[in-house]
Amino acid sequence: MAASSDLLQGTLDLLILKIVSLGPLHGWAISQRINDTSRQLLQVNQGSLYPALHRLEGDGFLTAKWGMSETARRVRFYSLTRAGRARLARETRNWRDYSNAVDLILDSRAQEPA
Amino acid sequence: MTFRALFRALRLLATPGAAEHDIDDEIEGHISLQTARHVAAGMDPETARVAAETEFGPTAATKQAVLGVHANPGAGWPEIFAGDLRFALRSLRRHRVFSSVTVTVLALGIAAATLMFSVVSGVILRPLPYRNPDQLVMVWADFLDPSVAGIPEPMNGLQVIGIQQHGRIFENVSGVVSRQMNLQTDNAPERIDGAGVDDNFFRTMGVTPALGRGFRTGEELAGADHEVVLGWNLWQRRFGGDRGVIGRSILLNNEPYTVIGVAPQHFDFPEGAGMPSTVPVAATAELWVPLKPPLNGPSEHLVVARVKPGTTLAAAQTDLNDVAHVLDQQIPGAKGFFQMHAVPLHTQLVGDVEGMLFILLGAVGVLLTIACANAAQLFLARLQGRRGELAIRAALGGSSARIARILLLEALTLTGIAGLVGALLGSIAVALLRHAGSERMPRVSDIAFDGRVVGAAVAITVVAGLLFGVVPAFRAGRMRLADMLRRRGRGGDFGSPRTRRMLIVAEIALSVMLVTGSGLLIRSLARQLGGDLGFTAPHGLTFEVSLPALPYPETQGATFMEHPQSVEFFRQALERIRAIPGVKAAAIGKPLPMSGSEEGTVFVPENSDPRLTADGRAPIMDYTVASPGMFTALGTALLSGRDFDNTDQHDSPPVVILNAAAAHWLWPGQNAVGHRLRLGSARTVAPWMTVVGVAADLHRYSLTRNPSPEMFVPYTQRPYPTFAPMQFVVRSSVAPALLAAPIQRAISAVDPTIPVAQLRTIDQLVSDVSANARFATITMSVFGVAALLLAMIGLYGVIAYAVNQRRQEFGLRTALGASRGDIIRLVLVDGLTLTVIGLSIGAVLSVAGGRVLRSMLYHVSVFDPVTAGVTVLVLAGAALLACVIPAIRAAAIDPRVALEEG
Repeated sequence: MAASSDLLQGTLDLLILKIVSLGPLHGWAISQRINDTSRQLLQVNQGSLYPALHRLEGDGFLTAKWGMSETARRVRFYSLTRAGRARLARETRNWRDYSNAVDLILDSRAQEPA
Repeated sequence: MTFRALFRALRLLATPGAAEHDIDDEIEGHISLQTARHVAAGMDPETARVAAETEFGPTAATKQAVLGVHANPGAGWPEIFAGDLRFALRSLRRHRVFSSVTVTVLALGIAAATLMFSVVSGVILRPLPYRNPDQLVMVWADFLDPSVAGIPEPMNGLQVIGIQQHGRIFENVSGVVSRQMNLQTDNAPERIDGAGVDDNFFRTMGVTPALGRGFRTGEELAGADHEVVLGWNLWQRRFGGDRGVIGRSILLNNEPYTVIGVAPQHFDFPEGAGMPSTVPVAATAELWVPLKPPLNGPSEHLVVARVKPGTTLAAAQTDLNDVAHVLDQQIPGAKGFFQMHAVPLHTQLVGDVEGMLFILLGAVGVLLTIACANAAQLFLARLQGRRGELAIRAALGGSSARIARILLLEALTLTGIAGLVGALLGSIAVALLRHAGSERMPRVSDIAFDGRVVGAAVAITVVAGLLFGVVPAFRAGRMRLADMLRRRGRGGDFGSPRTRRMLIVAEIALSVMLVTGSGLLIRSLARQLGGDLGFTAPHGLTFEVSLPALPYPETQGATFMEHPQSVEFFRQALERIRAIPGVKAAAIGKPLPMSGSEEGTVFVPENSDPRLTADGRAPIMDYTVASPGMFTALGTALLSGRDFDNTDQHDSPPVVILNAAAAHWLWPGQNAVGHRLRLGSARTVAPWMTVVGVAADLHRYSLTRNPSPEMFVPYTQRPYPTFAPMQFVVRSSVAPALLAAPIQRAISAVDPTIPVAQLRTIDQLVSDVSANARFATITMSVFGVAALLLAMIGLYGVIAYAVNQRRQEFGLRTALGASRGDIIRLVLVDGLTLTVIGLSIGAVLSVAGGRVLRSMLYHVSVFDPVTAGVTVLVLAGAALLACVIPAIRAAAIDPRVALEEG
């Protein structure tokens, strides 16, 4: 099942950066990769994906090139810039901290007395 | 904004169709790939296409969203800034109490700093309103006599002409003599203060009359000397600003004068403020009449000179020494009498207050720093409550740099608002100050809220914003998300409590400085006012009349002056004033104490210490003309002998009264009564005067200068100074204000053309002389109180916060048997520890700062133990007050509730 089709904006950016960091991809492939890698738990709304891609590109975290898809369509390939790589590292650390912290809080009731 | 983004935005702006086409292509690519995938999974192409389109969702909306990203490239710094600013403003609106407290604290600091800077700017930094004012100097005579050495003295005509003839580095040299003239109009006569000036005067000052002309060369010579240049204010006040006044004849001192010009607005040289107390100069000059310095006559000339461009003060001094040498050779008996020194005009006018104003500017800087520290620690306290919000922002991708940026923006926004409010308050205060400005404060009319002040206010605001915003922003910038979340529970802190505690210690230390400074100034002022002045103020009144040469002529002799008509006028006037109900004593005295003027004379004592005259030069002492009853009216004690009485007339044996300092100087260990002295030097033949009394010393010039030796002579025995003007002193049993009208009636009854001028109580005279010290003391005290309040508010905040943080601990302690007293003690110790650290650092700072104050202190040491003690007590008391409420609250914590909360 889909956890949420409305990913938080910061999270979507993080996911895009991560996926693209593995190699240049076009938009369709990015949404497929998120879908597949999360074992269908996360589904990306295309209405959010493309604005996000263009915004990240505008911010200088991604660059884009027109190329040919495997179906011989004209598509844009996105790849990570140096700034994008740095942002990815920072966001990853923040996310880890955040989720660890949330875990700690969620687990705390069972372990600690009041 | 990166260049690439900029380029893209520009390209899209230039060819919007192309952009749409690109996005259409990209969306079409996506849908076709998805369609291909469905087909590969076995769907028929048409169904696959529909499915892919459905999955993609509304393409138009996506396209609009993408175009929206480009139309508003998020990476541009103006957009980022606008977004951050919007966010900052929203958050400030949400925390109204914090925002308004911070704005108030900062606004008051900025207002005080702006006001102080406008004073410094107007009085010191702004150039004098004359052409090339840097070339203007004043030249003073130096007497070598030790009793008056180092005191700038006015010059006699010989010296003025000497500089004019022999000086090589001067463009123009002008002698200026104070003149008081009675202006007769259809209404009551009015006394106008002005100056007699030589024909060079307006050229020397570099001033062109606003209307008409100045004096022509040689105009002061016989025939053309009944001309007058009016001051702007006088012209407005008495002539309604009528331009037709030029060429009109007006009646001054009962003689017709032709108005030839009107001086420019704000020109009132010579003004009294800044002039030595030894020189009689009215607060402002309102008219100028021509004058030729006489070769003999009293030393009454102020000398103002314009040096050639590029002349240094040292070169001017060398030249003056040469002139003095020439004069000494021309008049061999003078023996160094002609020593002179030059003072830049700017220094002359503002030198007295320059140091004081810079000290106060420094003090206001300290106050502003305290205000910033206070705002910073309030800010940190508020961040504590916002950790949750900031953590979530960080989790949502707000980088820590962005959070720091937002915090700094919030700080700058608050300071910006505070700057506006502060500048507004400052401008109001400037207007009030100009209105209430004292005559003794030079250039008060030049204090203005001008461009320079506005610039300074902006600079002060920016510096304040950075000062107070940088610490919290820096702390936030270094925070990691994990820390914010991990410490979300009690006991954690944004940054650490150490930062706030350090800020409080700094605030206390700085406020100790200001409190100590105001304490020292208060002590110094009290010493000045509380000292024995030699006269008493209550119910004392003084005023001046100026008798014109027509019909009160004076004839100058070598060591005497004949003024029989004046003597008769004073005799009758005193008789009538003494008859006014409520008047206990009335007398004349010239000069009266604290009236900003001095007469001095050379003299020869009989049977005195021969060393006084060993080098052939006559000693000098102050010379005062008095009527019988002057000591009684002033409240000055007569130590031995008698006062003048009606037996001392022009044909009776000459008599003199000495003050205690003179008696001790001339005949130490003896009663001076019965000794004799005479005016002039060993070569002149003036009659011997017998000492008939010794009076207590009275402070003549200022509250701080020790009384000099002084002689008093009866006005009836042809004393040499002019009797125009003459001062009266009246002691009454009723409020002095009630006497103004009867006194004018009494004077008018003797001569209806004579106006009463400068009517002031003795209290006012004393407060005028101490005006600058009073200004400094009041200003510093206001700063000190404000600093103390800020520090204590800050301390209260920190302690109250700490108590809140330790609720559980206190609850536990109570549960374990600690008494309320124990808890209160714990909290107080916490607060007082901060106070003691602050006090110790403050003590060190105060000693350093006190050195700066030293020049302003009278009979008070920088290490004054009373001030130090009171400062410690005040600080400790205030700190106790700030901590007591949180302490009581801590003791009232219910242990059950506190523990349950945990």
